[in-house]
Amino acid sequence: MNSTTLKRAALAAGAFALVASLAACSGRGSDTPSATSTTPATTDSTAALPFTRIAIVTPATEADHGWNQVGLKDAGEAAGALGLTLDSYPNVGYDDPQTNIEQAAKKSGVGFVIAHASGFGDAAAKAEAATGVPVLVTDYPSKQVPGKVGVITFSAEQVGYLAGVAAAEATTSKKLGIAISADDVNWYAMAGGFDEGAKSIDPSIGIDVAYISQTGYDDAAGGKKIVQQLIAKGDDVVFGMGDGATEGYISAINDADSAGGSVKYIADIGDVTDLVKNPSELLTSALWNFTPTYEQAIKDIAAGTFAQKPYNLDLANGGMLLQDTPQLTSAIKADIKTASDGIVAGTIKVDQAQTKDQLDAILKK
Amino acid sequence: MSDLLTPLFISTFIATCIAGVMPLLLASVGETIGEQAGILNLGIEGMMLAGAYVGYAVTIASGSLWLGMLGGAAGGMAMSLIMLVLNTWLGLNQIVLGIAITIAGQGITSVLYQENYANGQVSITPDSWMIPGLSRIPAIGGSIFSQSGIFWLCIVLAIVVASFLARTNWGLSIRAAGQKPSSLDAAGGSVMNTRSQAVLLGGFFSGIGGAYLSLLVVGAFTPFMTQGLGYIAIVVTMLSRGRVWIVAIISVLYGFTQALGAAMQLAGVSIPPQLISMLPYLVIMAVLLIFARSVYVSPVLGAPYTRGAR
Repeated sequence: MNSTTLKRAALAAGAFALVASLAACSGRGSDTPSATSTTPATTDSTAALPFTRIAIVTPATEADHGWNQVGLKDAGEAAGALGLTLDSYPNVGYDDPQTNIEQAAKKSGVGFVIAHASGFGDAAAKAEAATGVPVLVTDYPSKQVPGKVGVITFSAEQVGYLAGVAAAEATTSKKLGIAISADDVNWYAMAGGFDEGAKSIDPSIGIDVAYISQTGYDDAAGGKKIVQQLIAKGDDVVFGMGDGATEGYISAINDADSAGGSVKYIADIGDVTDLVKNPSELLTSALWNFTPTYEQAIKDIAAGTFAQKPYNLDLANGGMLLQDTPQLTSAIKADIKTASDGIVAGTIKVDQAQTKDQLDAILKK
Repeated sequence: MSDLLTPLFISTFIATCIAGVMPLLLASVGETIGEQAGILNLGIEGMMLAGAYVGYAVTIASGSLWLGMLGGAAGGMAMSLIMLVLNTWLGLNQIVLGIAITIAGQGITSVLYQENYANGQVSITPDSWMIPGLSRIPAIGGSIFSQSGIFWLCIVLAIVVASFLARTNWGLSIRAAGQKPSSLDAAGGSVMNTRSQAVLLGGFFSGIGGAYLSLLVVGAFTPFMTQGLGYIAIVVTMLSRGRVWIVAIISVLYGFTQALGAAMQLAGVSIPPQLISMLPYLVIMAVLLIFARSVYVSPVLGAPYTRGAR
């Protein structure tokens, strides 16, 4: 072997090691997700539970300021309240959720796994069948298997209605915008509720809806483009739904505000206070709260009553609520309370759109 | 419909077109240089992400968009070093390397983002050069003639590359390295050096394309934010046959159809969400079908050069 060949071999080995180490950094869709554990101070409530750990598996990280952020946070709160240790498996992607959920379930002491994505339903059911550890999935009641697979459903239209009330009170242009990142049943429900809530205050209000794409959850550039156009059309309150696309929505709001505009933003699911440049830009957020539901599911496992019916997040059980901000004046809050009481009492019926056609029908009313 | 025909909306529409055009144009210019020299760079997506992240990080640290763009260029070039060493120098497979660079770029930037910015994202507002007189023209003044200075620099860079590729000995060497490298070798030129320059310039333009996306289009970095733009750049490059002006036309078409999707929705046209994201790609595919016979692929594209090999 001559020296040139040796040099090339050494270079190739070094370069291969570099590429391999870089590729190993790939943080999404890993088959072996890194788990972080949160161990709370032990409380008496653990005594009644047949396990000491629970786990949550999420497709992305808490940086989305929405679905994943809230799921991880609320799982931690539920575990803490019940004296359990939480194993978090964020950012596993959608490549092989079954393997990730099974790995989470097989860890010693784990008695419950939250599969925190609507796309995890089938994988979670198979993981439960393989491990015997109860799992909790979202969105589709048809996936429910009593005692084994629980399902969380959402009355997202209810909190959307309240957001619409707030927007109608805050707008001066009488034009509201809805930015939707993807073809998502909960986005349709919230958007429909938003339309009905706004028009309950002022039926003459105009509402524009713009979508990024079928799966634009994390498309920040696409999100910014549609919100820029909504603002240019005259919409002065924008309700944005989207995980990572939220960065783009808020960037457009920030730019409009920097240019002397006065556009308000309504976020969804999580808190985006740290993203807005000027706190007055954030009117409110349609928050989702999973903590009580997670706690109930865990207690049901202990009682042998898990997954007898879907676990629903709504206004009545505190699973849905509007974020309080200084921009919500006492007059707006009073209208929100009236609407909320009416929904809980059943005197106000909010339509639940589950498809784009159903949403279009509500918007045309 | 009438509220879409206001100067403000038209201005915003043009601005969103430009936002769609520029990252693709820059990345495609870089890919054009590479493909003309015989390098098929499938790692362009990873290089763009590296440029987007480094550009964002440098801008946050320095407070300067210009330094951020330089950082983005450095990020793209750093990733292109992998291609330079393993392919150009050592002759390993370009396709495998390109895919590895893309995966590495996605992974590295995602991990770094989680470590550094996930819980404290800072939004960047682009600067604006108001060109005297022109910036007051209704609709186009507030969009085209109020862009950041970086926009104009990038346009100049694209024109310079187009001129150099078409009219200089350097451009001739680049094309020779991609069409008949043995002839370049026989004429006293260095295929290795020429291709090395092409790879680094490809990384440079991919990097500033990514930085343009994070700094001037979104104003923030998010993981996987290129959303497949690098792959579109590869298609655009193959359609352009090495001509930067064709790259520019196709990029404008892409940006226009992207902006059109949102505008059509606001005009009251009910479009399925599935179709909105497909629109730019359908246009690209239509162009591909129409000009399919014109697509030129270098005979040695993707093949490493070994002096004296037959």
